[in-house]
Amino acid sequence: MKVDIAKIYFFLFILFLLDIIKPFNFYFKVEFLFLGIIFFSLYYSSFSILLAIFIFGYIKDCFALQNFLLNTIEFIIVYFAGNFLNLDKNLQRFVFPFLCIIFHILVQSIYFWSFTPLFIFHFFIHSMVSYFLIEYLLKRWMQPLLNEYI
Amino acid sequence: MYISWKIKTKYLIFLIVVLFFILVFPLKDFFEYFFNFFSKRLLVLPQKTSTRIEELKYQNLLLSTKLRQLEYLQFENEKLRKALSLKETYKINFIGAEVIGFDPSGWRKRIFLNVGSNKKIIEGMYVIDENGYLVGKVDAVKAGYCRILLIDDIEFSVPVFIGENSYGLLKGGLDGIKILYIEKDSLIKEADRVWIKLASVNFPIYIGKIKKIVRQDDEMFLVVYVEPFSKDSLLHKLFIVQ
Repeated sequence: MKVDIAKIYFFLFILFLLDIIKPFNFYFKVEFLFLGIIFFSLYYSSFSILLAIFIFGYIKDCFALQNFLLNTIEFIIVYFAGNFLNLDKNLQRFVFPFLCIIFHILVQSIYFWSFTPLFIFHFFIHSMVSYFLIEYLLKRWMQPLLNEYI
Repeated sequence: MYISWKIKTKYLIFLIVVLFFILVFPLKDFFEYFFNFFSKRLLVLPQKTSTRIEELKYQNLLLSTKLRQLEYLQFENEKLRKALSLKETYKINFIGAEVIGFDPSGWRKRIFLNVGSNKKIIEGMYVIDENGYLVGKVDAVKAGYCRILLIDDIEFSVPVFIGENSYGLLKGGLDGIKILYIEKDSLIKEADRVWIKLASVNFPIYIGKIKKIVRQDDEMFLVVYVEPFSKDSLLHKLFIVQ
């Protein structure tokens, strides 16, 4: 399957800028870049996608204080999980993002050693809603490339 | 399982690239500067439209802080029952800055401002909003920008005074701002103001007021929640106290 790499890099770049600019300040608890990674991990499978995911994970880690590539490793795990998860397509569309967001919450909470039920609940709900919105928009934008999958 | 040489070579190249980036991790400064360059161009307002407004905001802040200084001096005089004559005048100096970016992690409350070591900013300086309320402190400084740790970040902490008699350690968190190490017999009450005093300025910088006090029987200290005064301040200009 031919993949439009430039489109993918551009879209991941926009998502990352959204995370930096935070147009809704801290009221909207979402990591847009991670949601984009979930989408591309689920619907694409190629070395170029893996490289893009690694690059953006690395860039995100550049903003962290600690010198540990947490996000890079996490994004790569999500990519391989998306490629090797073998469920019914319709079920995978809902189960995979759910599992990825839960995984992300667990990893970040353990890393920062901060377990706040209300924040976790907000983050989960905001992320799930945002993911399906991003998925809807991206599918329309990248429709010709996804025809093989859908 | 047969794996073609093409795929093996690709993954070998990927592994080399990963090792390269891990070994040259100092590239992180470059990427941080690169993305702040983009968000700076997207967020900063045109100077022509906001210069006069910014000047007025700055003057307003200076006047309100001077007024607070005078009120505090009067309070000190009445409290200590002797005249306090100032032998040296305190020069109040603020550096205005605008928010150009946020930390991309959802768990961290850090922002980037468009001033850095070029404006003599150093780590540990406190940041206030246009009303003089504490917003955070400088966490890291580069040539053209600096990173601020907000008061509700998980790693923010500062010793604070509460009202007239008490003090504790203010600690940020995802579930709100708390003050730690307040003893059970402390005379604090709800709506007491929380403030800090800096050596460089002779007036208190307010952070917020006490929202809730929780007393637990099996704990030595109270759990005190603080409601910050600086709400939605990130949409406006911020000032770094020198």
